[in-house]
Amino acid sequence: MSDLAVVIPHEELGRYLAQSVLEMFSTMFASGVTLGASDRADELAPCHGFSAIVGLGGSVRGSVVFQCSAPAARRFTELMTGEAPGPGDQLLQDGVGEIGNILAGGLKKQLDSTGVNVSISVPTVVEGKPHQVSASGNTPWTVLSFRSEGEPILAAARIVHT
Amino acid sequence: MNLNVLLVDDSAVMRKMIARALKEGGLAIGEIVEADNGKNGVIQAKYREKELSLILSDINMPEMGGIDFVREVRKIPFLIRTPVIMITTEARVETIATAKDAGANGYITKPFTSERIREKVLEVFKELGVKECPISRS
Repeated sequence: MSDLAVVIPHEELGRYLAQSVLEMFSTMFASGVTLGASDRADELAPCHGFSAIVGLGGSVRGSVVFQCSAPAARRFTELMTGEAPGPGDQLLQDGVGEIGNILAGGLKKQLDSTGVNVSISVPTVVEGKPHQVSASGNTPWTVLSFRSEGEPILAAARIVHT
Repeated sequence: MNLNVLLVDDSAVMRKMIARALKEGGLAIGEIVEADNGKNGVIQAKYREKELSLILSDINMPEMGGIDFVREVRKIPFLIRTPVIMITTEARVETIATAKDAGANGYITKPFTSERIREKVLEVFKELGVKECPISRS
């Protein structure tokens, strides 16, 4: 397998990400998001809040990343559970991980519908400031920046066919 | 009739979210018991088999996943016909078929709404011919 064998075009992956983000926010958070255009990036910028990372397997290899600030993580977790989490509450990591899981699930659903068989890992969550998520190989990330209640949020994916 | 529910999901946030959705969906919910993976779900199911009226489970979990969990649940005498609904990001047709073969009665994909959970619970109860309607009277 080679990283040269990228078969999911950047624009298509950007559309899938955008659709997954919109479905997740409209269903779970009943709140609007302002989507930016999807970009290509060789590496993800350092994150000062939370990152959820979900591995992709099956007939592809790759990752899906969801990143948000600590205030955004608190807001999302409260919207999901109905409880306000305190600083350092384990629920914050769990909540961001679940968002990453649902985002990756949305992407998987769309890739499955195109005949690409995808499995997803349980999410890993990193918290700290600053940290950087990176991956080996030359495949660029498809990065979708968006805002919810004024907070900058990022969804990114990197997929290579095996 | 109040529904005593077993919720199996490795995410504490998701368990809280589903419990909230069950209550907000207008279903008459009694006790909610939680487990963070299939293995612990089986322990809870065996311990409370006579009290449980509904089981909701994730599929992708550490230790024991949802499909194996349902297979184990169906071996427990009092839970052979208890409604089991899977709530998961796994939307593939093959996975749904495998879950049904294992003994699941219904399937909800994440993300979900309270209304979706209510609809699916009522649909499964109707399909199984459960006469008591689990709607909250309050």
